[in-house]
Amino acid sequence: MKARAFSVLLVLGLWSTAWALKPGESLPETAATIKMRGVDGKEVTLKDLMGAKGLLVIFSCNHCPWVKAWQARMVALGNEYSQKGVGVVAVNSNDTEAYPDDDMDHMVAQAKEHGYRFPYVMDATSEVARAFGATRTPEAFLFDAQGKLVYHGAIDDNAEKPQEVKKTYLADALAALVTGKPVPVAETKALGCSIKFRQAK
Amino acid sequence: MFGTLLLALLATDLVVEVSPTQLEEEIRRSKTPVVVNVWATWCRPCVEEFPEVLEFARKHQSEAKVMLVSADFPSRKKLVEKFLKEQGVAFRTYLKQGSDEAFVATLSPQWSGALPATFVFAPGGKLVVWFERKVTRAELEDALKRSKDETEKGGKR
Repeated sequence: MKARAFSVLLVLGLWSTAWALKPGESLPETAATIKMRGVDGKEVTLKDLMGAKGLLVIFSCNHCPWVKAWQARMVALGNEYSQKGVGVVAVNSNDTEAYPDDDMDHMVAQAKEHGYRFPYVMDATSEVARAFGATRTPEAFLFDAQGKLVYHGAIDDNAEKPQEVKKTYLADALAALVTGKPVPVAETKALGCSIKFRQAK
Repeated sequence: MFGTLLLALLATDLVVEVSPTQLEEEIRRSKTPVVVNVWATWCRPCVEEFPEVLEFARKHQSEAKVMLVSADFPSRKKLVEKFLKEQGVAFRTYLKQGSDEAFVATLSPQWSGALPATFVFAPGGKLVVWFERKVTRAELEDALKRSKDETEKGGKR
């Protein structure tokens, strides 16, 4: 009976929901060892990037207007917390054949223009995004030093108007993490560009 | 002068700002199934599926209420209107206003917020089918059929 109800839900499409990593869950082992090339030409893994206090992974890209809108805030937080013991990385998982604006040359230019002082890397198979269940850009995943997810979601509650932000979700989560306090809000949502996944080969 | 004013009024009418609360109310009040398509001028897959959604909307206008909700930033309203005119849209459409979180929760708490996304509600507001990807006209027609079946079963919220 339960199985039947489940299959009905499947048929109805109510289970079309994208799975994503939940707070409390661990940094996916499969993703942690995938080598990703950064804008500095070096290859790194998420495991390499884990800091003494934790790791912030932001799925991002170049072309997306939501990324552009949030960019200055994202970079400010990334630059600040990479100095406070948190490993910070922006990951671009988009298919660059379909979206040439998201290729490495454009990544290099973007990181330079906006002053990224943390790695901006290419997830060349989109497998890292798949392992996280990431669906959009920008989308943040913050892990503690033990590799447990403590925050997943938006940078804050107003992409377009920084001056009208009321809830600084990611900043609050980072501040709590580095001072050993519980993260106030562990999951949030925002609109974003879908990740343009490469087809699995 | 009057002509300009009239044009301005017509243009305003094509795209109406909608808050999450207003959207919920529109969905709940409808006597026919409601299809909500969330799109943006800057979203390529949204633009690619647009003709399919539009064809569905035109063919089924008496049986379904199709709400095109643009998630473009409000400052880009003129670009939204321009795109809609180019596509030949002559019915009222919407521009998302207010909190993203409330907007996502109104349509489906399961939705991640990625675009494009389309939601099909039975009369009364029960979510029947939703897609977090591009849709085709055939998929929407199938979804419409399911939402009608839902109505016949008395599947109201």
